[in-house]
Formats: sequence, structure tokens, C-alpha cells
Amino acid sequence: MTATVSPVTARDQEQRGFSTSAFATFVGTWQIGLYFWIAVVLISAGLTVVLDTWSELDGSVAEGVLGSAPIFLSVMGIVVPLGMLPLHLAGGATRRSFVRGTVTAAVGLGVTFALAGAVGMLIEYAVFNALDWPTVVDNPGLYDSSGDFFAIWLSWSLSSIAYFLAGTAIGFGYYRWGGILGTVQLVVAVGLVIGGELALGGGLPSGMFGELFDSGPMPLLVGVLGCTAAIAALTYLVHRTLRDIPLKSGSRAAGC
Amino acid sequence: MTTPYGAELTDVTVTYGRGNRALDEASFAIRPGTITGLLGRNGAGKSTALALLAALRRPTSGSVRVDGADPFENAVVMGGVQLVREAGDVIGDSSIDESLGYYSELRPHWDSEYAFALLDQFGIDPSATPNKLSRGKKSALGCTIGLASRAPLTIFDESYLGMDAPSRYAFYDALLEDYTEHPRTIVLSSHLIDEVERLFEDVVVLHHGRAVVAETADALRGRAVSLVGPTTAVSKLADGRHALATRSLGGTTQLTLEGSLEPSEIALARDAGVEIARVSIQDLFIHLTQETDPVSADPTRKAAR
Amino acid sequence: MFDGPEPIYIQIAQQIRAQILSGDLPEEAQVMSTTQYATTFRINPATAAKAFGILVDEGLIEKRRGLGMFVASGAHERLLDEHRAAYLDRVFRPAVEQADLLGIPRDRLVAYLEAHPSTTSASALAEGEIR
Repeated sequence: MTATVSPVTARDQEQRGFSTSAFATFVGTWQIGLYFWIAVVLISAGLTVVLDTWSELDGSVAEGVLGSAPIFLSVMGIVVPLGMLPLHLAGGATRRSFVRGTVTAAVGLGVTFALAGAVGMLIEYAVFNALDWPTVVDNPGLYDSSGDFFAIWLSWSLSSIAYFLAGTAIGFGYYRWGGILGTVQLVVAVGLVIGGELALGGGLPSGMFGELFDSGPMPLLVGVLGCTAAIAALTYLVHRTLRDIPLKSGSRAAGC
Repeated sequence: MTTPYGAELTDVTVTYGRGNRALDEASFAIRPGTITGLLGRNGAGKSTALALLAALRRPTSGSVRVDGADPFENAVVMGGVQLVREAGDVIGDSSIDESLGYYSELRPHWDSEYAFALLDQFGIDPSATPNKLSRGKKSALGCTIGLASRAPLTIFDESYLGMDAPSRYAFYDALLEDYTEHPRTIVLSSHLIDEVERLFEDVVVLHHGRAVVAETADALRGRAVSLVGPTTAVSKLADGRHALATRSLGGTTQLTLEGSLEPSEIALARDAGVEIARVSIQDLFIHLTQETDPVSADPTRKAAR
Repeated sequence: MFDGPEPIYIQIAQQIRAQILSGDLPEEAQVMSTTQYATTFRINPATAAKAFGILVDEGLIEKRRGLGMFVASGAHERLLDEHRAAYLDRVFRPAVEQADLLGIPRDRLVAYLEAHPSTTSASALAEGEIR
């Protein structure tokens, strides 16, 4: 028998739940993310060779390919937390700590994925410069060349966080609210992501919708504030969906 | 060691979807430090009641108390309740090690060494993924999680049903041993009642979302007695009493009587060549949860057994 | 095992009394611990503890701190005495009452008993008493 165990406090327990959830989501996503990055590097290199051989290379190739990282994160944002929640609650931790852990992991993932992407862009910039190829980007927002390391890192960080959280809001939206309300939540989440991207002036949505608006290069502050607002709204959506979510009986979300 | 948790449901109703009541104003208590059997037919509301104790959901109405507090989003109480649903909640496609790591991070009283010793005993490789395990091994993994959690309220919701008989008995032995060494509250829900009824100190029977029994196993066993012997002697003993079930073969009758016998009546019965036996909780459970109506409603009906 | 109509803890206590009476559990012998008993017979430890509690209260077994539970000295003799008294009450009281009714004097009863010496061994007698 264990002799003296100090009494378990609510703060300790919340801390355990938070750090375990944040760590597991971060590491779990990166474990799969590693394969994503390998694929992305190979595709970028291949595409560059193909474009250079048979077509005209008119700017950054990596932007489009590495720029798919947020999409990847949105998928992980759906899958990973959905798989983790039953284990988290069965382990006796609260939904509150799960939400905090997931949002923290989203921030960590956004920043590190964006860093990897920005480094990739920087490498491309160096290579293209050496070969005297153009380094302009398609959707100039906060940055207008693949060499704008910090601007790329910042804007991709923000959009990646938004994409991951949108995935989480969408996944649990369907899990909790069912088909109709789940779809409403999906529309809201996608809308917030588009809003954030437009504020930053980059990414896929800006390419699609940018012409509808007068989207010249955005002032830095507006972009950052706009996307941060979208992230805050998505965080609220995730919190609202999860704070008292009932765990379904029978179905094992983890696939067991 | 923290003290075992008691639990109490008061007038609890849980409604799923459109008016499908899983629990219907159910009220019962689980005494701290006991091994309590939660029995009920399929759909009686067992899993829902247990999910409430583990704060996996909230009741539609009524009050749930675990260790005197509402468990929902209560970090301390939730940290002290381990519910093992069937084969346990694990990540199906990554190693068992990883899922157990999650539990050991979250559970303040988790015993990793014990968990691995149990896995070894059940013949489970910790580097395997749960999805690749047989049904029996999956159940054994769930049992391992419950035992190793050392949670002040540990609940096994039909966790051991997938295991073969030797593994189930190994689980019962491990449970009893660990329970005496680390006293806590254990709830077992099962429909293999005969096997586990002697493990119970208390029994709760749910029927159509209500608790129809919540008492000690001894009190429940005392609700009926079985007599076997010459028909004349048996019917004489049964005179004026309520028979739950009767079966006759030739001159011999087997009768299940409601209530218990006085020592003098027992002596009388034995002298008349009537054998007296207790009625198993399994049989009582069948009587109590017969679809038609409760046992006391129709004394003339011959209950099917 | 434990299929009688009485609560299980009473049946356990009875079983241990029978073992003490028959000499299977000699005096000063160690009795199984509650845990051992519970795991061996797969019963609730509280049930086993309750049975042992009864026997401790009756002075048939005693707890020795840190060592476990042991059959008390004199337990065998005490049980035997109880059974003797119970036997006399159960078998001889009705016999004597009947004899009084029939007008058989006591000295004739004694003479009868003396003319019919026992053929069964003491232990078989004890076995018969256990139920």
C-alpha cells in the first residue's frame, strides 16, 4: 500500500489533463506530419523540374505545395482530437483541459508547421536566386516573395492555427450536433477560415475570392488582427461544442 | 491511498433523441468501499447510469453525486473515477504502450508496473495495437486499465464478457486481491451473474430505467428460498406463502418461495426430507425483471425458469 | 459450496467451526487470511471478514497482530461442549419427556444406555453433529 499520497487537487488534475492532451495532439499530429513533409518536399522538387523542363517557371513553386500544410492540418484537426477525446475522458480528465490542450496544440502545430514551410520557402528562394529564377508568389499578402521568411512564418502560422481549429470545430460539430446543425457549424467554421485568410491576403481563399475585393497587399496589423479574431472565434466554437459534450456510448471514436 | 468514493443517483432521467428514456427517475446509492453488482437486461440503462458516474454525460434531470459532488467537469472527482466501457477506451491503431501512457499521465494513482504485470499475465504484448487483438484480449486490456487505475471508484461495464473462462477467473482473482490490498469502490455490470454474484456485497438491479433493487447481496438472497422434496411435504411448507415458481416431476416438487424460512421451519423441512437451498441471484434477477410484470403481481402464474 | 439457505458468511463460519470440531483445523493452527479466503473461494472479502468477525467474537479464532488469525486454544473443546449440550437437548430431552410420559423411570433409562455400548468412533459422531 502506498504510504502517504498528497491529496489530489483540482489544479494538479487540470494541469495533467491539459499537458497530456496538448502533448499527445502535438506529437501525434507531427508523427503523421513527417510523412506529409517528405511528400511535400518531393512534390515541390519534382514539380520544379517538370515546370522548368516543359513549361515556363514564373515564380515560387513551393508556395502552392507547402501552402497545402494548413489543409493537411485541418484534416488532422478533425481526426486527431476526435480520436483522443474518449481516451481523455476515460482517463478521468475534463473537457475543459481537453479544449485548452487542443487549442494549445493547434498553436504549437501552426507555428511549427509554418516554420517548416517558411524554411522550405527560404531554401527555394536561395536555390531559385542561384539559378536566377523568379521568386515571386501568386497571392501576395503579407509577403510578396518566397524570401520573406518572417512574414511567411507569421502569416502561415496564423492561418494554420485557424485551419486546425476549424477542423476540430467541424469534426466535433458533426459528432455532437448531427448532420444538419453539424453542416451549419461547418459553414460557420469555413467562413471564419476564409475571413482570416482574406485578412492575411494569402492562401487558397484569397486566390479564389481576392479579386472580388480590392485586395492589394494588406497592412500587417490588419492582417494579424483579422486572422487572430478568426482564431478567437474558432476557439470559442470549439469550446462551445466541447464544454459539455456527451460521449457517445457504444461507438469507439478511436476505432476500437 | 485516497478513500473509496460513494455514489448516488437521485431521480435521474436520461433521454436520448426523441423521448427514448434510458433512465427513468432512477434512484440508487453505491456504498463506498463495496463491490457492487449492477444488473439489468439489455437496454435497462446500466451503461447510461455508469456513464453518468464517470461524467461522460449529464443527466436530463435529477442529481448525480460521486464522493458527495457533481462529477461533471469536476477535475478531482473525474480523476478518481475509472469507467472501463466494454474493452476500454484506447487508441485503436497505435501501440497499447501509448494508450497506457496516456492513462498513466492522467491517473494520479496509476500503477504502471502492475499494468504491465497484468498484461503479461493475460498474454498481451504491449507493443501490439489494440485493433489487432482478439476480442478476449481486448477485454483483458480493458480489465487491466481498470485494475491499474487504482481509482477510488472503478467501474467495469461488461468489460470481461469477451474473455474466455480461464481469463475471466484470472480477472476475478486479480480483482479480489487488488481490492483487498487497495480498498476502493468497485462496480461490476454483467449478465454472467452466476459467476460473479459471490463477489458482490451490494446489488443494484435496473429494469426499464429504474432501480428495482438496491440492497446487500445477502438481503437480496434472503428474498426467496428454494425447496425440493416430496410434493406433499413441500406444499405443506409452502402453505399460505407466496410461491414464485413451481416445478413438479412425479412426486417431487421444486418450489421457489418468496421470503426466507425461520430456523424452526428449516429444521422441520429437513426432517420431512425437503432440501432447502438458496435461490441464486441469477434466478432472482430473472424473476425481478420478467417482461410481463413484477413478481408480486400474479401469485398463480407459474414462472418460466 | 455455500449453497445453503443461510447468508454466505454464516455458512463460512459454520464450515470453519466444523473444521475446528473435526480437528482439520487444530488449535493454534493458522486460519486463512480474509484475502486468501476470498480469493480461494472467489467470494467478497467483506463477506469473509464478516464470517471471521463472528468467529473472533465467539472466541474460536483470534487475531495476532502482524501474524494473522489462529484457532484459539480451547476452541475445539468449547465447540465439543456446545455440541454435546445441543445434542443432549435435541436428542435426549424429547426422549426423557417421552419416557416420563410413558412412565419409564430414570434408572431404567440408565440401565438401557449401559446395555447398549457405543460402536461408533468419536470422530464419526462429531461429523454427524456438524450439520
